[in-house]
Formats: sequence, C-alpha cells, structure tokens
Amino acid sequence: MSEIKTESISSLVDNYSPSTDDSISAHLVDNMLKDEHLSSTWQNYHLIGDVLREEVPQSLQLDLSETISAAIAQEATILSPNSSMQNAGKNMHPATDEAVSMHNHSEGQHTNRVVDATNRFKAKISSLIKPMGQVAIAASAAALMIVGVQNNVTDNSTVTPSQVVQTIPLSGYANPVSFNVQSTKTQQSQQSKQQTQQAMNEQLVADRIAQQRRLQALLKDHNQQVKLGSNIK
Amino acid sequence: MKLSAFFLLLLSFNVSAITADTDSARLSLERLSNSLRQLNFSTSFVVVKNNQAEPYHWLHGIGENEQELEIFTRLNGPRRDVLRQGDIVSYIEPDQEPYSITSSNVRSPIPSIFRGNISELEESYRFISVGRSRILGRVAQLVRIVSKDKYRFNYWLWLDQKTGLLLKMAVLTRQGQLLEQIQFTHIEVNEQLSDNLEQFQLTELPQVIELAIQRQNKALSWQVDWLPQGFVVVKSNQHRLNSHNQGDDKAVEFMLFSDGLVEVSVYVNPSQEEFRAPEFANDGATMVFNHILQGIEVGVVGDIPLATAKKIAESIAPVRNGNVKGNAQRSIGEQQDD
Repeated sequence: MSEIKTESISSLVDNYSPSTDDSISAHLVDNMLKDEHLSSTWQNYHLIGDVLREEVPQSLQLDLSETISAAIAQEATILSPNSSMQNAGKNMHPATDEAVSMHNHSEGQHTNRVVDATNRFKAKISSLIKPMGQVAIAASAAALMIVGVQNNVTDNSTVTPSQVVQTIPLSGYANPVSFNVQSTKTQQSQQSKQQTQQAMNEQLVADRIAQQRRLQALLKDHNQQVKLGSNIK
Repeated sequence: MKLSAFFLLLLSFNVSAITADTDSARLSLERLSNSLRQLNFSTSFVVVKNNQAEPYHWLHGIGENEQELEIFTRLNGPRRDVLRQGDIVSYIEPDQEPYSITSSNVRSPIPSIFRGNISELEESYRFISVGRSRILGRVAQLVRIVSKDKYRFNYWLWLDQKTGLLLKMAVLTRQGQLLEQIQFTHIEVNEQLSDNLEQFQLTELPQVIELAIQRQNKALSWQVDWLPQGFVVVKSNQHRLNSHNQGDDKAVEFMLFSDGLVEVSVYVNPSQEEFRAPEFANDGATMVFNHILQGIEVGVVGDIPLATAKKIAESIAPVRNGNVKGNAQRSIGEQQDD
C-alpha cells in the first residue's frame, strides 16, 4: 500500500499525475500532508531530484523545514506582546529597542501596570488568536506549496523562480493544517487546471480543424490534378 | 548425389512453375484489358474504404463508329459522374460546373491502366497468378500485382473466368493489411448496347476545356531527389491551392508522378512557419502527408505507404544546375507532352 503511495509521490514529483483521475491525486496530497512518512518521502524525492539536476545550493541545509518552523514559532511569541504594545498607544518600534523600552519604563512606571493588565488581557486574546495565525501561516504555506507544484506542472521554463518556493519541503511543517483549507485550494487549482485544459483542448480542436483543412485541400487538388493530368499523355 | 539431383529437379520445376504463374497472370491481365475495352457490360460495384461503402454503376459499350461509351455513377450522396465518349471525358461533380477534357484516361475507382497496356507495370510490379475462387457466384482467377519494392502497395484482382472482367479488387499493404476493396455486386455482359448507353450516345457532353499546355512544365525551383523505382514525372506546374473557402489560396509548386498504376502528387511552397511536425491522414489507400521543414511546406498525396510519402517529402531540395536526374525526369515529362 505504502509502496504504491511512494510510487505515486514519485510520479507527482516528476510532474506526472499518478492517475488520470484527479481526485486520486488530491487524496494523495491530503494523505501526504497527514502522514509524516509520506511527507518525508516527498521531501527526499525532491532532494534526490535536485541532486540529479545539479540544483543543490552551495551549503546544503538538509532540514530546512524544521529551522523555518522553529523560526516562525519563535517569531510568533515575540509578535503578540509587541503588537499589543503598539495597540496601547506607545509609539514604539517593534524591533524592541532596549534603550527606548528602558526609557519607557522609567517614564510611566505607574501607568505601566495598567498597560500590563491590558497587556495580559490582550495576551490572552492573542494567545487565542495565535493558533489561528499559525493555521493561517501554515495554510498559506501549504497554498504556496500547491502553487509551486502547479506552477511546475504548467510551466517548465520557469523552473528557477518556482524552485525557491518548491525546494522548501513545506509539507513537513504544514502537517497539522486542517485539510479543509487544503481541499478547497486543491479544488481551486483543479478548477484552474481544468480551465487551462479546456483552453488547450480548444486550441487542439482548432489545430485539428486547420490540419484537416490542409489535408483535405491537398487531397482534393490531387484528385483534380490526376483528372487533368491524364490530359497530358 | 541422387538427393541433390532430386532437389535440382524440384527447383527447376518450381522455377518453371513461377514463370508459368507470371505468364498466366499476364495473360489474365491482358484479357481484362481487352474485355474492358471491347465488351458491352453493365455492372454495379461497391468501394469499401474507411469503414464505408460507396456504391457505383458502371456501364460500358461500343457505340457507332466503334466509339467507346462509358458511364461511372456514384449512387450515394451528391451526384458524381464520369461520362466518356471516345476521347472526351466529362466530370460532373457537386461543387463544380460540369466540364470535359480530351483524354484517354478516366479517373474512377478502377485504375485506368487496367484498360491500357499492362506491361507498363512490369518495371515496378510482378504479376502472380494464385488460384481460383468463387466471387459473385462465378469462377474467378486471383491475380496478384505485387510491388517489387517496399515502397508501394499490392493489388489483388479477382478476374472472371468467363468474361475476363474484374469481379473484385483489393489494395493491401506488404504486411497484408487490407486498405481498400472494390466488390462487384452485379455483372451483365450483352451483345447489344444497353438502352442507357444508346441514349447517352445521343447526348452532348459539356464543352471541352483546353488546358494551357504552355503553363505546364515551367521551370521549378524545387525538385524531388528520391522516388521509388519506376515513377516518372507526368507533369509539373505552379498553381494556387484552394484551401477550403477561406480565401487564403497559396501558390504551390506541383509535380505529379506516376508508376502506371499509382499517381503521386508533390506540393512545395515556402511557409511562414519554420517547422510543423508531420501530419497525415489516409483515405482508403490514399495517403495525404504534410510537413514543414526549414520553412518549406511539403505535401505528398498518393496511394503509397506513409514511409514512402515521408521519404519523398524529405528528399525535396532546391533545383541544382546541371542535375542530371531532375533534368532527365523533366525531359520525359516534356516528351509526353508532344
């Protein structure tokens, strides 16, 4: 079972839909996001692909996703009190300038407690909001991945720009994302895919008609010329 | 020793048997040719190709002053008739005014060489008499016209033992795949001219159009460097190719080749596109091939395999001065003009 899945992932990495049925490949992406093993497989296959294509950067950072997720986690904790400080009306730079903050503390020592209280309240709210924000970040990250994959499918010539998005095996981080967001995204992308496919089909039909016209004209002229040609003998 | 002598004997028998087959096949084909020219017959046949069957009537007779009279009528769809009184051949087609030309050949589902000099085919084809079978309730002799090379199709003819007329014909690839066949469904041979032809004798055919001969065989800037053995230039010219009511006629250089049985048209024109992948379609045994290579569009049409059409198309080259082969072929075309 998992062997089939990894095989499908392999073909997905190689820009082939593992099946003609799009719903299956959508399931695959869902599964991949849920399953740690599959997502690491996805990550590894991309790495293998990069090595084969010789697109590995100078300094090879094997687990970029963890560093990034750690960085985001760190940033998220700093973010909420800072924003609440800003909301409290203090004209302060978010980049916690220590001198300014010290000055701030000495200036309004007594008001600080009020601020602290409001801060605590806001912190509570922000702690409620925080996971939402994380979800939003994760969702957008997942969307980025999808867009990256889609981009890669539709256009091979712009490999280098999309590579930036694509090399990050975001699936490693995006695991906990509710696949509600995911599925609508894939639906959207499927829709756009269908649209492009339809446009391609129309193009194909037009081409085929033009081709038929050309060949028909040749055949007709051939028959005519053979009739007239017998005149020469 | 005895054994080898026996084999030698067997071999000589085989050789003589093969030559006998060829001779009898040639005789059968000559008889066909005579019958098609001399008999009063009224037939119906069906052309089966592209999973479709097209029925035809075919009448032939000898009128006054030994004049040959002939009518081909397609029975399904819009009228498409070929009428012939002696050397005047008229074509009645759905999308054209009826016209007549002076010609000894008739463009019909039946190759006109069958009425002509069969031995013209012997350069490119072998004749093999195979055996008897029953076609249209008659005893038929099967004669195969087999291409000597791999660049052409094979033709199987079932000929009536009694009258020598054609009862069935099949066009096959070398691998034996059936491409097109003609099956006769009715044959009647009479001493007297049929009523239809009696009437036809009195009708006047459309005006004969004179083709501007001087426009033919104009010096072309492209030539075909490769053709299967036996193909010669019938004619060459420049004309406009009408591409289906779009008004975008394009001028093409045109060459028509024939090996007696099969006609091949080659169209060359410069294109705005640099490259277009080969595209082809076949109508029964007729292959239509088209591609653009290095800004030159080449079309090849004829009853030939795809590989042959492709090879011809790829051999198109600018006319080089003092090219012996091209000139030789062209001079043959000109001689035929005179």
